[in-house]
Amino acid sequence: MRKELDQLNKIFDSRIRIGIMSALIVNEEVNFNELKALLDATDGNLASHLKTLEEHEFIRVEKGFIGRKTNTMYSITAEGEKAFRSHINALEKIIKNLQ
Amino acid sequence: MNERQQESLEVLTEIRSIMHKSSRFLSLSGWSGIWAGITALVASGVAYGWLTDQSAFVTNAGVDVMPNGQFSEAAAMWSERLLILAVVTFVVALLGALFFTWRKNKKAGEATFTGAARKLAVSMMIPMGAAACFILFFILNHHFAYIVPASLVFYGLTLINSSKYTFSDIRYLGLSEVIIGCIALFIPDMGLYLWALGFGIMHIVYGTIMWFKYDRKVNRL
Repeated sequence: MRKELDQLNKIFDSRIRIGIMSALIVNEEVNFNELKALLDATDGNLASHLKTLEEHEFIRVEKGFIGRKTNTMYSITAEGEKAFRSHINALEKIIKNLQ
Repeated sequence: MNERQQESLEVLTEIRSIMHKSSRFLSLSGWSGIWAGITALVASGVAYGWLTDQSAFVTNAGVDVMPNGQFSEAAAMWSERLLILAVVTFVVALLGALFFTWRKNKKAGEATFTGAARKLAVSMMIPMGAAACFILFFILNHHFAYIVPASLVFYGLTLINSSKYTFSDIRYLGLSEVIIGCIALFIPDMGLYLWALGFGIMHIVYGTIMWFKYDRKVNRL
């Protein structure tokens, strides 16, 4: 049990961060507004979680424009995908082991 | 199940739900299908009326060519009428489908034009564009017998292709359209009935199933 808990990544403790990673793992790119609607988060809250994931190099950020409006696109990095998958595996183990 | 497990299970369920919601356009309304079906039935009724008017033409399911190599007047008139009917039917069905989907999203408070909606639109436009080329060619060259099978098969393949971006159920609607289209190829005399079955009845049946399965909850909100 101890071992599985160690495999849980502390960075994915937050519901919003889990949500961001879930959306990015099945989509090539997702923009800020879509993430916001999907996760029901406020601008500031979402931005700070995105920042954390970016600092850990789990996601890539690409700033662009649609007309004059900024359109920031997010995508997952190879490292982020690896970390998120092992986090999911650890969650699964916790459920299975103790049944 | 202890607290730790309960928590892990909830997180996994949420991950699944977000993966599903973010990659598929799940706001297609069942009414969109029902509307498309009604439109198709009206259109086939109009075509049926014209056919009984021109009973001499019905026996000739293919090209109606005069001895001198020119297309007959009847065939030329048909080609013009069919083209107008096809365009009007498509536009009316599409506008209705968009309206009902937009209305459902407004009720549920969700955005209509998401990334998944874009993917769905693109995945539909490519095979539908090819279908339009084929059908236009068949109409202009008076190969009337191929219009029904081509429209059913292309549309069916379009739905199968698009089913990965919306409810997976439309895959089965697509399969039924392809099967009906292939049958229509072999019995051109039944063409109009099979077209009405594929685009009319099947849309209404699937639209109703989808409404009961997915929309009812939203309406109760």
